[in-house]
Amino acid sequence: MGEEEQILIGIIRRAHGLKGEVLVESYTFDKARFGSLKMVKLKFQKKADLHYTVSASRTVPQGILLMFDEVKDRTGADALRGAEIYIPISERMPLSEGRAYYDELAGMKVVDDDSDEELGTVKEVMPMPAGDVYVIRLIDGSEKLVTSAGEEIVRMDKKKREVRVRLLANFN
Amino acid sequence: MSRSLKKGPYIDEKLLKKIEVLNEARQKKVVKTWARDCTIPPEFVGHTFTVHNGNKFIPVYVTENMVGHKLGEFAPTRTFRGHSGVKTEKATA
Repeated sequence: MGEEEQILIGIIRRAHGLKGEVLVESYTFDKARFGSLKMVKLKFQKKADLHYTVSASRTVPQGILLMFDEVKDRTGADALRGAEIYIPISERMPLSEGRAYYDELAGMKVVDDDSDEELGTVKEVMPMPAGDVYVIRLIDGSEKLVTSAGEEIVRMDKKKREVRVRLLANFN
Repeated sequence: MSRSLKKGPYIDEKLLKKIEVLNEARQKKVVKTWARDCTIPPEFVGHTFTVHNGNKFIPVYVTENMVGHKLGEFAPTRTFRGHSGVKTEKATA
């Protein structure tokens, strides 16, 4: 039986303090989710993956501080530096209506809201300082970037796997 | 050293003229620009620009809280694309 697909939720950057806490860079949309973690899988660069039990977590301006049952001192915490934190995909946080994970959007159909004409597919979503940018691969093979912050993206339907858009003309 | 207050903010004249044309006609169109150093005046609010980042034109929708910043701040030239092929818990807003 194959192992369930895993998702990356953070990377351990460094040890913090003397009691075995580690500072984690979050890869989730909601930092509070670390409070509900129990068992996580740590992937290391040069050694085999290990399962750790989360005993405590708190949010600090630099990121998240995590404590594991298996780590009692700074030396143990130092050994975890650079490890990636994974959880099974079934433990992913549910999203509110109208929101989607970046990997769910990839491959969705892009449809013109006025004419119902299919324009292409979403290749990927890039987070940018002014909002997410959708990279759309058009039917003719070219790419078009559209910001989610403006009025061009009308709505996204997860069930139909389509994004409805109303693209603006270019100023000439 | 910050820019002299006497000079006022630097605003690309050609870009401002284009936006004034759109505002007069009450139209919304995407304006392509290389003027990353242009300060965002209140006239730009509600318009979408595509700002060149050295490689691509990144779409930027201007909101009120962007006024006074430069267009280039919203089109990074170096983007960390994450761990390729790895699913994360990052979601749309």
